[in-house]
Amino acid sequence: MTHTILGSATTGDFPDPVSTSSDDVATRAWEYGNHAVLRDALLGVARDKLSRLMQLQSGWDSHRAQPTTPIAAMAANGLLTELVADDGPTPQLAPFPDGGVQIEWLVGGTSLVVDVDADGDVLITADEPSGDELFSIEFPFWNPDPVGLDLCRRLLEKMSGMVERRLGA
Amino acid sequence: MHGDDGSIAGDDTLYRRIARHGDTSMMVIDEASGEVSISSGAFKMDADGCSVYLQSVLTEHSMGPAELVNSPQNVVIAITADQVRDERLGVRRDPRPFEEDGYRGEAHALIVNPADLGRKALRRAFRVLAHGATIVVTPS
Repeated sequence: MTHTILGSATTGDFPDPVSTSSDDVATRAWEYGNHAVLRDALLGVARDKLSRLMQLQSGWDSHRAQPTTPIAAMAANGLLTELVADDGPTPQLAPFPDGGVQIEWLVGGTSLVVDVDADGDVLITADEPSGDELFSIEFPFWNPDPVGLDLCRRLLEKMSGMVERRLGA
Repeated sequence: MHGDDGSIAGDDTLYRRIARHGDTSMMVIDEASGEVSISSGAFKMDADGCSVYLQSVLTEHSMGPAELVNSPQNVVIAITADQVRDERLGVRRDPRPFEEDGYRGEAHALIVNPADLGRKALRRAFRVLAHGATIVVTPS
């Protein structure tokens, strides 16, 4: 497994992991103390992953899964550009088997989840830690909802203040 | 897409193989608590449904969830048919050819959407399933 550590806005160096207690490789990889990150660094990691998701082999889930479609990737990239900010939480990307892609931010149980379908249609859902819905928005990729995206930005700004364990994707 | 198969008992366990890390990971990390949890995307359906394996059929072949692992990146998560049906989704058998999946292929099934839930309702259902699922096999 290759890990890309996000860039630091302050020193360019990274602190040692705050904990090495976990035996879990993936968890150890991101157990770095909170540190500032530039928007460009967050976007760079996310876009690199998006690019790799487009290159997945058909059947990547051992069944019939397809690589992320160019339209879904374009829509996801546009939303990342709109929503990612300096010091914001880290967007976590995952492919859907139908060629769509999911972007999720999760901090303190509060989540903002962007589901991009293979055809580029977008569903954004924000949930409180209790599971109660804060808001949800749907739009086609070619007609984004500016009011809804502003809600997302405000939520992400609030979430950024709670980040304690910066993910090193 | 076919409907729910009532011959599958409500307490039958459905196993789903997902990636734990790497590009196809279906796990998400909370950047405050550090908890690793299952993403709602783990239950996202393709045109046929969401691929799972039935414990009841695996048991007939003296197999369990560990036999579903294909790579060290895999984890296997579990949920019951009742939990799926509680979200107005269904389960139907979808055995796969022996040449493709060995004996475990007989246990292959799909979570399906017989009520034709809309996008938002499906997203809600997947979230509930992700929260209710348990990880039963982790990478060594």
